Amino acid sequence: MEHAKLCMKGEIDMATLEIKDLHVSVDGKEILKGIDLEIHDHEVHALMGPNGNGKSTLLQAIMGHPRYTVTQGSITLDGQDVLSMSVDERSKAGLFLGMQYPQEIPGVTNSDFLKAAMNARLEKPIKLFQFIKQMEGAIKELEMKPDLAHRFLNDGFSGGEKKRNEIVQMKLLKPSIAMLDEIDSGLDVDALKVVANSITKQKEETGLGLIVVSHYERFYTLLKPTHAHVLVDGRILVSGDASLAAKIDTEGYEWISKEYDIDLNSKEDTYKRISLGSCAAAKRG
Amino acid sequence: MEYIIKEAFERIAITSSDTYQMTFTQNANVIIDYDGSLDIHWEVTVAQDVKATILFLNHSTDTVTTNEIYHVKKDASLTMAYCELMLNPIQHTTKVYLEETGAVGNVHTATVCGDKVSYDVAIQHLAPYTQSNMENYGIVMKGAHWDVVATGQIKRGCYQSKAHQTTRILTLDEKQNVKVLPILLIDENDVEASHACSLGQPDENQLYYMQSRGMNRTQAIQLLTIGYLLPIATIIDDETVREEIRKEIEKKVQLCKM
Ligand SMILES: Nc1ncnc2c1ncn2[C@@H]1O[C@H](COP(=O)(O)OP(=O)(O)O)[C@@H](O)[C@H]1O
Ligand SMILES: [Mg+2]
Repeated sequence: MEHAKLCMKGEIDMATLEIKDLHVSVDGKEILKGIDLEIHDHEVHALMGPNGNGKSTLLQAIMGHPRYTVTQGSITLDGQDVLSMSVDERSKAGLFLGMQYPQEIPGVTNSDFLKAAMNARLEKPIKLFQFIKQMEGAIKELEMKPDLAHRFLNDGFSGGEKKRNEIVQMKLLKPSIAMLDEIDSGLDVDALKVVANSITKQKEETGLGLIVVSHYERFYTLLKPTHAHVLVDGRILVSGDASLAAKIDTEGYEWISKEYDIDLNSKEDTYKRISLGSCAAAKRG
Repeated sequence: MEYIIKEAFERIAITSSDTYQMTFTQNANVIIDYDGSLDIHWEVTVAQDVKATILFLNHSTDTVTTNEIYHVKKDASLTMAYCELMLNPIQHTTKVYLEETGAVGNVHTATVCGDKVSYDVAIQHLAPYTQSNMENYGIVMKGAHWDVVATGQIKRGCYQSKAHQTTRILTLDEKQNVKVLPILLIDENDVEASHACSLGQPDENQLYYMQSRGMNRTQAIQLLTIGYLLPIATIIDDETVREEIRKEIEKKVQLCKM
């Protein structure tokens, strides 16, 4: 609750999400095989890697999706044990996941949904006019149609509308650490800018820390990552700074296997963790 | 007891078992607030070209049994709705006769089922160019039972008629405690008819999505539930009534143990 209060004031205090030796299984199959990652407020971490290597699994496990079983390791947010929290407690503690596939919920309007989500983290329900002002502000900022508030949640939304709607939710819920899973797919170039500007604005206003999964360098160029990681076969193979994202955009993932003598398709436990660039010396705040 | 509806908006309280007759000779919205242990018989006539809307608002915690018959005349339209949030035992037997060309009959139900509930709703198309739409929405609490028989019948010669039904029921019990029997009896070729039905427990992916935004499981189920019930609030074209029903739905859902 401490956090929730801070969040509603605007600027977040400080946030550290720490993942240590995280192993995650789905239906008995191990997908993540020992992830170490630390994210602070004001940082932007690009999380890259070929499809099917566990990026979404990592983010869903952090959020607490019931299908993903953590078999080993720890996740903490400002020292609090995230793994012992329920999904809603994680949200209230300051975590947010903009999902790759947002759910459609016919019958529940966007505004009722958001109001309920905001009220869940407040002691007194938000005043209606305040809520409307905030929601309208976010809808306008993301250049969505004004009727968005009254439509059923993601029901019949285009792919791009769903993604923007995730950001509308992030705007109103003001997390301290947000994870955005391919939030830019389905967006055209103009929409990409609108979304990136909105995310950057929130980061500047609140000090939000971000983990961003994307396949597009353009999105990373706009968001200016401070860190980059390549996740392959359930492990973070390479970490670096923004130049790593750029390099992957121009050269793909092949160079990783050549340069570091690693077979990208190998399932064997032979990966080393390699550090590139200014990862360790990243700026804070 | 006989009512002739003369005002555009009327609100009638029913608290005793009796036979009631109601005639609509002009467009009107009527809300019927009913309370107590009731066994009532209704007969309603909607005159030619008249648009009638009737909303039954249940306030009873006792057993309520109704037998209802509706006559809809030429180019007239009947919309009737049951707003059942009291978790009491209910039995509605409802017959709608679309008697002349152009007649329209809509039946909507919104139910929080907390006991034994039974709806037997039959809409008969007795003339060409008639239309019906039946929408049953609701949730079923643990240990409750709900039977729905929804019949749409289009007789021979009633060409260009349409009969549609939708049933969406959320059940909070793992046991199979809901029976939905959609019946479409069609004796004419040149018609449209459909039935859509969804029945089941809350979707885990939807719940997870809502929880990831900070609602706990109970709050998430409540919000889903409100989504099933809220459409009933739009039946009456009056903002004050809508708000009243909306509040009532939210209050009742919050009181239910999900
Ligand atoms: N819900 C799930 N059920 C079964 N397998 C899953 C599920 N989610 C992910 N996986 C498997 O886990 C692996 C990693 O998937 P994912 O995390 O979605 O990768 P990425 O996001 O990097 O494309 C894949 O082999 C995928 O098939
Ligand atoms: Mg993915």
